[in-house]
Amino acid sequence: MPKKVAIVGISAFPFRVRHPHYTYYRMAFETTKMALENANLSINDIDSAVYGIYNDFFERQFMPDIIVHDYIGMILKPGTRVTTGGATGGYAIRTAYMEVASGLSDVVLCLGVEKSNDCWDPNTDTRTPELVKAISYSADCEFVRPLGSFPAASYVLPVRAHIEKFGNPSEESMARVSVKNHGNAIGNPNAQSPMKITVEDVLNSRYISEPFKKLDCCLYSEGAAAMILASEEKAKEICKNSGNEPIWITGIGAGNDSNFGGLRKNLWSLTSNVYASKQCYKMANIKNPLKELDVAELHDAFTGQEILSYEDCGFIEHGKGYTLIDEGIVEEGGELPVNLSGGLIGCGHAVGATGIYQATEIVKQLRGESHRQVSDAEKGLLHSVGGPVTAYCVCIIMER
Amino acid sequence: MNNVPKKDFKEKLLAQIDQLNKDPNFHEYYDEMIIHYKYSVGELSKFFVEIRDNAKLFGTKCTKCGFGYFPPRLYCNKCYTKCEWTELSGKGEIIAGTIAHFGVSAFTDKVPISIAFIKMDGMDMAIRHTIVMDEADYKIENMKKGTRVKVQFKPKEKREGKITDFYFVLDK
Ligand SMILES: [Zn+2]
Repeated sequence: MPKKVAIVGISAFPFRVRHPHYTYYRMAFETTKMALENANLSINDIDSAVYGIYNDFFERQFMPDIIVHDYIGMILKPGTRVTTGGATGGYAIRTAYMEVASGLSDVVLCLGVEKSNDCWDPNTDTRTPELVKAISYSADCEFVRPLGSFPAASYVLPVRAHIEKFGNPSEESMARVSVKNHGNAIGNPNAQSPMKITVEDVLNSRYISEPFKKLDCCLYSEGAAAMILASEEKAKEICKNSGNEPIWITGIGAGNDSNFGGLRKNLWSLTSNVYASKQCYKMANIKNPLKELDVAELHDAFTGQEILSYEDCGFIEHGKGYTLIDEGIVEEGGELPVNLSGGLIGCGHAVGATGIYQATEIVKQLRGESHRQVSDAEKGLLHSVGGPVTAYCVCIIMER
Repeated sequence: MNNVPKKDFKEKLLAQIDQLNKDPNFHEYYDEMIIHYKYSVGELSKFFVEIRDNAKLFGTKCTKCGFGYFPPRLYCNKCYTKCEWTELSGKGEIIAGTIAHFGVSAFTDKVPISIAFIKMDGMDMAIRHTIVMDEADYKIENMKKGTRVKVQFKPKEKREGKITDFYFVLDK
């Protein structure tokens, strides 16, 4: 039996388009400092570290983790880097969890950092095309990358397949997700894109990859997030000193699908998400996620993807995901609010940090510290996804 | 319940960041990461040589379960059995497609492009590739599931034995 694991400290370095005054290792340092303060610990109390840093081209550095490891004062202690695309954060938490659950470490730092917008395209004097070029090397370089694919064109294809099978989600339903998540980010100091917008604003924004429009897509960010995980015994001692409630990780599921979307049986379902969520519900003994969960943070890189995730995470049957947004069930005050932080669309996507950041938002909800607090929230879901056509998926249940 | 953050470190940091980001006094310099390759494609060599020299597409089929792989691979990941090469007709159909109006830096002047999962006749796996169309045809209505497409090869002198040596067109 794995040992019980609690989250005893959290922090986030605000997600912004750029942080030109910060190196990625200083961002990592500031975030570690905040997490230690949050848990009332010093770096000497940390037994080992897990780093979520996705893309070597972003940091312009291979093995950036060993530079961070030194900078934050972890010399001569174990440190492991995780890099699994957009799911880097979720997998970093899973790895940190395993270190504590196995008894190898009592207190583990799980730190995600990404500084992506130093990439620059000389031809257009803009950053995003070069940034997505850096990402494109994550696609199969034999058969996919040379053809010029990019994340929106990759993630839109399951949504297109879903539309052709079920006749939904409509562009209006997707626009409602954009309105919700941009709106939820208002009041969140860590969010990059808090905005009060209308469905019409989204529908009037230009197409990026049909039917995704500009406001259906998240923006890339620079930012960081950290969590400190501890064994039951240590957690009780740490939380006594810090005054925080320990937040327990009670379920973890993970699964990776083929990186070739064309190998999958049903393109309209993100099957890695189905597998990972079922596994984490089983471990946490959750039968009806829509009823039993109080709050969820889903990986909404794109609006349509959030709607497919409602189905694949078992909130509702396939083909009906759109009803959850159309009927307000996933809105603030609804039965299961999704992405009250703002999600990726509202907060931005600092790839290696994103999953950890969204997990800290669940912890805030369970502690009662959120800017959009669900009263008496007891159980939350983190959903962390990445890779070509959502190949990687990690789902984590956290409880008070 | 603990509703009040215990320390104001966070607010101070935020104010500091927003102040710094207004300050033009920072340094950035040009840099790049480039590695050149003569990349060996091993057991896939036949696939690329047939494209370059003969303008032919080959997939592979598992000799045990018959599953058709395109892009081709040597082993079936279900049976752990070897696959054998099989020539394709060059025709297939769209499984799902999009019209992209944005591209990575090498493609920014090439948009719109159509990207689709295409299942070749006789194959079970779909390949993600581009469909080249007349300007007026770049419409999502032309990317419906089941739409027939056929392969087109670049002229022989332009073929390099790469995935970009061919593309698809609508099979009207
Ligand atoms: Zn087989």
